[in-house]
Amino acid sequence: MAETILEVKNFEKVYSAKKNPVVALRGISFAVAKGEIFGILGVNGAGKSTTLNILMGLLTATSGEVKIFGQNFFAHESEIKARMNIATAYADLASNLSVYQNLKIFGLMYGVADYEKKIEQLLEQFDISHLRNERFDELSAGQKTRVNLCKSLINDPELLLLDEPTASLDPSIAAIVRETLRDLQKRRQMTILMTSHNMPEVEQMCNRVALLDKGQIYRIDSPENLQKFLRVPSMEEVFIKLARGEVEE
Amino acid sequence: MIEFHRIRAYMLRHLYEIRASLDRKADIFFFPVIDILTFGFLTVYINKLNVQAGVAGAILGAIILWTMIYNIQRDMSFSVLDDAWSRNLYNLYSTPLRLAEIILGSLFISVIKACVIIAIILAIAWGVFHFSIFQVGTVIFFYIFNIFLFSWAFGYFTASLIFRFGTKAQAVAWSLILIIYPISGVFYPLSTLPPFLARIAEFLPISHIFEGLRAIIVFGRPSSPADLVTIFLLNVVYLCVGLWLFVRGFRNAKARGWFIHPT
Repeated sequence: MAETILEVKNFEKVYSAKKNPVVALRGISFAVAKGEIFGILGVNGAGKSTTLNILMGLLTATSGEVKIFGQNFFAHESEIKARMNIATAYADLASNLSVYQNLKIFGLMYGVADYEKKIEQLLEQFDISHLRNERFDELSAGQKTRVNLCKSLINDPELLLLDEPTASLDPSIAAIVRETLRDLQKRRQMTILMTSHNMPEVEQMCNRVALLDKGQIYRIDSPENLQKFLRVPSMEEVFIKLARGEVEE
Repeated sequence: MIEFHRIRAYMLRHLYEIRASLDRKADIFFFPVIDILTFGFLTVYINKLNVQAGVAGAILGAIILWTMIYNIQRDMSFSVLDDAWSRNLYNLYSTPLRLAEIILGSLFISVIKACVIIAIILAIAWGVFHFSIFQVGTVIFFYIFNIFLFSWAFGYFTASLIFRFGTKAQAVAWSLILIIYPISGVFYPLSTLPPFLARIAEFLPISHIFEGLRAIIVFGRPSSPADLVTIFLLNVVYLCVGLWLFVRGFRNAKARGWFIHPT
């Protein structure tokens, strides 16, 4: 049996707990094995990004446990974060700095030995070498997404979190990104935890998917089994059923 | 464990910002120069009025130290605001960067920036107005060190307000310090103030520094060891409180998800 890389137990997040509490996560639990691509699906506000944000140490969980690489995440946050990374469509890099300057900062931050070579290699991989000296705020949304992906791979993470990784990319670039990520996952046994609203992408990439609804996990299974279980022909239909509340409790 | 490569990365991020941003260049090269020139010419005029010798020098010395306080404390908040404005907090704080490394990185950056500002304004004070702050004697190094301590403490306090209230409180970065400007005795003795304000001012370490500076330049009276101890102890208390508030503010921001949506 493959080694468990990520284990989440009874995750709960309540915002403004004292006045007007908003429950974002209601005790979710799941585990992800080494080399697995695990998707989290749900409508906006279901708790997908909240889960990823807690796992990156950007948000505190109200209660629950997380083990990453076999260690308690909250007790060894910095050491664990050195071995993971994230790309999100919802955050930028320093706007006044060039692409290279931004990536150099993250290369140094993660202690990458030959960061210059790594940066060149990543820029080439995502076909943005020509943007090396461009200011980040002068890039298009799709170019920013690719720079963010370069940032997320700069430390060769063992666990990569992707929040809408191909949002704002045109279909051909999105396909290249997916191929690159799948190739990395195969070659380096990289574990990926991702959210996406692109259902064909989820179907194509994920080994298993957690369906998240109002902060709770409805079901975890492979895309094929989820389609069989809900008697629908595609993940698109799975998502629609989930969004319309047509799934059985 | 604290890692130097992460502190270096944090510092580099802000050094690049100075190179790329006209606003940050103006903070270092433009506003301090305007201040020293304005007050410098004022002292030229004061000298022509035949007031007591040394008053003009005390004003120039005071504006040099106040410029340091203003810039150092503001830069502590800007190290948070620059990343909030460019929505980079998410990526920055998702790295292994520790809070202690952020604190050390922001301290080192403030020292570098302050050294550049000090060099510029001291050169102008000497070259244009023939004033050297070092005429005060070696105690000036103690004063400057304590100016740093106080400015860091105040800077961490304002940064904690930004963590707590978001970018809508950003004006505190450049304006909150001005609340204590009139009561710090920068240009006039504390005895000038109404008694209740003078009493409050006694709890400000910088008011003792400005009083001491004035006493040396105007009356040639050195600071007593008791004054120096008071300045240092007050600064230690202020710095501990500033850091405590900064850490609390950081944790509060993390609990609210402010690093994700820094508004």
